[in-house]
Amino acid sequence: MKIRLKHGFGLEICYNQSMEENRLDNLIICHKCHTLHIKKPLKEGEKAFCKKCGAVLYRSHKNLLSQIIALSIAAVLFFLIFLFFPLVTIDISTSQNRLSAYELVIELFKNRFLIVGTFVTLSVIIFPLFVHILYLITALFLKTNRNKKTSKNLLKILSHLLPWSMSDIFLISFFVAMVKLIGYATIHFGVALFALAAFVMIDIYLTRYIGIRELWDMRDRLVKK
Amino acid sequence: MSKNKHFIACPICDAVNEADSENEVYCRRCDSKIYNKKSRSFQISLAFLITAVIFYIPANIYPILKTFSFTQQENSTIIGGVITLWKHGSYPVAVIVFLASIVVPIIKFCMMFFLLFWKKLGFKHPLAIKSKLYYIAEFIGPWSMIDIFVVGILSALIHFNIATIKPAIAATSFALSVVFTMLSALHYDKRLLDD
Repeated sequence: MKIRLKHGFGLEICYNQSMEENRLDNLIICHKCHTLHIKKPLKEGEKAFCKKCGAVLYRSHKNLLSQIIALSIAAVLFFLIFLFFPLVTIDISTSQNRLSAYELVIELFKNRFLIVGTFVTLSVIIFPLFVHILYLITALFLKTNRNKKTSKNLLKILSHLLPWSMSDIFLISFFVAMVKLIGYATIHFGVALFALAAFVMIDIYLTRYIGIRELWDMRDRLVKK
Repeated sequence: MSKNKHFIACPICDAVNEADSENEVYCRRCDSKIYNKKSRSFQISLAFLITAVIFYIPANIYPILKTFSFTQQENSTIIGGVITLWKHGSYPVAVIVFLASIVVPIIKFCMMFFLLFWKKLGFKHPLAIKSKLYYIAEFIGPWSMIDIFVVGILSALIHFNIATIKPAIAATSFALSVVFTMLSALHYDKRLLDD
């Protein structure tokens, strides 16, 4: 069900009423078009949309934390499969070659492409893995509702890491690379590719669909209690 | 209450903060610094953007891939790779690579220059349009990494006796160009959108 939020033009009123901190908690700025809105509490399964551009501002989630814990554990497991099992095996005439994610990194460093190698390592392996480990730890901290300072710091690190995690782009690049090889080699896909696809789906669900904003709001609610 | 006060979303946690144009503001929820007009956000963002443009030039001139087969050595540039894909008939992939490694960086450069200089150039677009532009610029930026990853995958996979693929100099400068455009967007002060 759609809920249209009150538009922010008449904000002077709410602004003058009080300068309390929690007044600001009831406001939200659309991340797409920068329009100010006043928040309304949602019922289960409802979404709040921006009045100006229609972007989803926030949702109500059932069991948000349990969902995040379950999915991020799954994501980490899929990621480990992606990391150590072969992505692809190719045959050219009589010789055969296989590739897995960690070999990719080693190969780049062997070719002395230090900058590209470092960047690929960080954006494909280290950041995506860390993002999901941090998601897991933060959700556990919030679930047990203790150590508020740590959960804040974890969320901050997470917010800084998110733009640099590029596993979805890597998946598309992988298919582009395979298309380039069509006609020259026989290609057999490995287990790791399916693990990567599963990981990317969970990654998109957690970081794009749910989004880190929900975790910040969740933390706010827990701290206030 | 001064009229200069306005609301701004924290770039890290999206919490709404009150800010004025003079003083430094720290987000009330996550304590990170929110850029203000006096801080050097404009210069930092512009410097990163110019660096990115500079790195983009060698990325297009020099080869990104070196293919060794038997006795031949073949160098291919970014645009050369797109043309080869097109000739082989894989049109969708050619379009993806073309968009990701040529159209996206150029669009992003233009957007960032526009967002930094719109005021001086005398454009008067509403805030909503400019912040949508910023959102798009931030979203499409990382997709130019496709070419770098493709080069990495191919070079790691193809090292046979009859054929070897190695990354070349343009890969490094292209990767740096993408990193610097992303940094430029991340250091951009959203308050420059509104004035």
